[in-house]
Amino acid sequence: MSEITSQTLTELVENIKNKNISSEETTKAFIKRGEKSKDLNVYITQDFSSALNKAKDFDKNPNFELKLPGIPIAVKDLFCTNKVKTTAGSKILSNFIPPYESTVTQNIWNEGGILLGKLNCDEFAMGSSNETSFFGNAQSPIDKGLVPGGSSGGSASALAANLTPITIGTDTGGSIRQPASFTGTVGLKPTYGSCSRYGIVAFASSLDQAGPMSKNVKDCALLQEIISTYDEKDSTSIDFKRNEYSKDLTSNIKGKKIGIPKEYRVDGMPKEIEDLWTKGIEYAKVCGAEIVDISLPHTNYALPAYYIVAPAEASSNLARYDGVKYGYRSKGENLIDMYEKTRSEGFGDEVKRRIMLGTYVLSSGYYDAYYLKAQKVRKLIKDDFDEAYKKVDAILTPSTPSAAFKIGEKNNDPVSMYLNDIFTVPVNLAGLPAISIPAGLDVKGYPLGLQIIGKAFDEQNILNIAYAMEEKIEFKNKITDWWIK
Amino acid sequence: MKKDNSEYLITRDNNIYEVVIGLEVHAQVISNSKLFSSSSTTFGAEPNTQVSLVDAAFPGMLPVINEYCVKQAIKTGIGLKAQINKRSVFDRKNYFYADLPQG
Repeated sequence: MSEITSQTLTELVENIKNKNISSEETTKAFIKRGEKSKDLNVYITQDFSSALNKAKDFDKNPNFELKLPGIPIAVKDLFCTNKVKTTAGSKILSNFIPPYESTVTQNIWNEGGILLGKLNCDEFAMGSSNETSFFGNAQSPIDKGLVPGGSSGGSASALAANLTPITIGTDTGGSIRQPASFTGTVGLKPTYGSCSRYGIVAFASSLDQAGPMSKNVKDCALLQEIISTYDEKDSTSIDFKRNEYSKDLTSNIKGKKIGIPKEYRVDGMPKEIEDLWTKGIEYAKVCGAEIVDISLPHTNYALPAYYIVAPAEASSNLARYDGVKYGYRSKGENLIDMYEKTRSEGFGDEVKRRIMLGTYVLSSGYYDAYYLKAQKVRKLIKDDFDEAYKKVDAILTPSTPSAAFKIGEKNNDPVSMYLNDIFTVPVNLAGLPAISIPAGLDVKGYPLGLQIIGKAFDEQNILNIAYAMEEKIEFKNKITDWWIK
Repeated sequence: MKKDNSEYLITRDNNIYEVVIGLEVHAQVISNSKLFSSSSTTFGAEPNTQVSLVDAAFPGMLPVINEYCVKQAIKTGIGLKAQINKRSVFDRKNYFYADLPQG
């Protein structure tokens, strides 16, 4: 048996069920490694002593029927967790303790999962490098000074560094898939309406989706089947027939038609990304898939449309943080002064930038020119995918236009940071599911990911394609433990 | 502009205008719980006893429309011989007011 922390979720579940290891041993191993990994700055809140108690309780009265029997799991700090501090990576929520639990995390605890702690993320999930977190940048375990991606950067780092066997993130424009790609891990953004948004700190409500992040596709399928449930508390949750994704997983994808969109071959695409994509196409063919050239003509307009719609929704969602009911409050001369000081001091620069953008595009006189136009573009992007899916079962693209970059490298250039989302954003605008799987390394040895986009509610199909390709790619993450002294 | 409705037409500065009057009516729906949350609407209750996490705008809380209130609105529409639209849309307005927790 290999070391506990380097096992996949599937291996851990099997070993606990066969009584080779206990929940307590498992939890202790992840806690010990977590304590030695402070330099990665992945945890905003550690809940280690409580986790250990829960593990001991599980061992006293184990239920091996559960899908996550006594498995310790750390989650992104955007999920509200009952009586455990939830910050969304922001100063304005730095002291906020929710008296309720998000549906997605509750689903995990119901299956026997145990909360290890809350993971670092960009402030209110706004960022692509984890650099906008009030709690400092999470480091990538891939290399010193490297960003883990964002906004689910702490989740990706903790997973790749073996500090949690599996984790969850949220994805509004790529926040699961981009950090998964940067850290050599698997990340799935489910169809909009698949996972409940109840209890997740909102960024852009029409785009936000929670999803699993894992070391391999099988683990991803298992976690997706746990977290995806119909929920009356979220009016956009959809009551469709959900598969048992891990049980129904198959690497037989013979005859599946996979589309290659020509518009994703963007100007100035690095050769290593181009090569990765070509390699991915070859792997898909080897797996028995049929490759079809397709066109998604409005792709170029996705990023500008996204950076109107997302800030607009954010400006409205973040209006509630006024210092009155909970969270950080500054002293003011009067109510308005208190609001202004609280929000000036409580939000970071990137959040303020997006609130201002959003407020501007929603203001009277500009609404039709920006917000309404962006909504129309969004419809055209959705129509592009609908048209393509008449010919293909799934679409294959790179996950990101480059490998991970250094901390601080893009700090003074928000637009170059936004460009990171170029391949992931159209998927959110269309509400579709997409998975990123590790597929290769760049010249420096940094991971690169491939994205498989599916039809709405067709998570099983993209999981199957990912599963088949994973077998052929045989990706190995190079983690040297450089941060452990 | 409809024909045969000359009584609704007025002339000002050589231009003809049709008078169209709309009413914005604020009336509380008779229901046991609020429009977007399950909190009670009982009149005269103690302050802050009928506030849910949704009403207080806690992070991650989502409004869920009260189906009964929608039915009441449809009944009212039918009672007024109005046309009932099959599709309704909500828009949010944002103000920083002390009595608006969501902003």
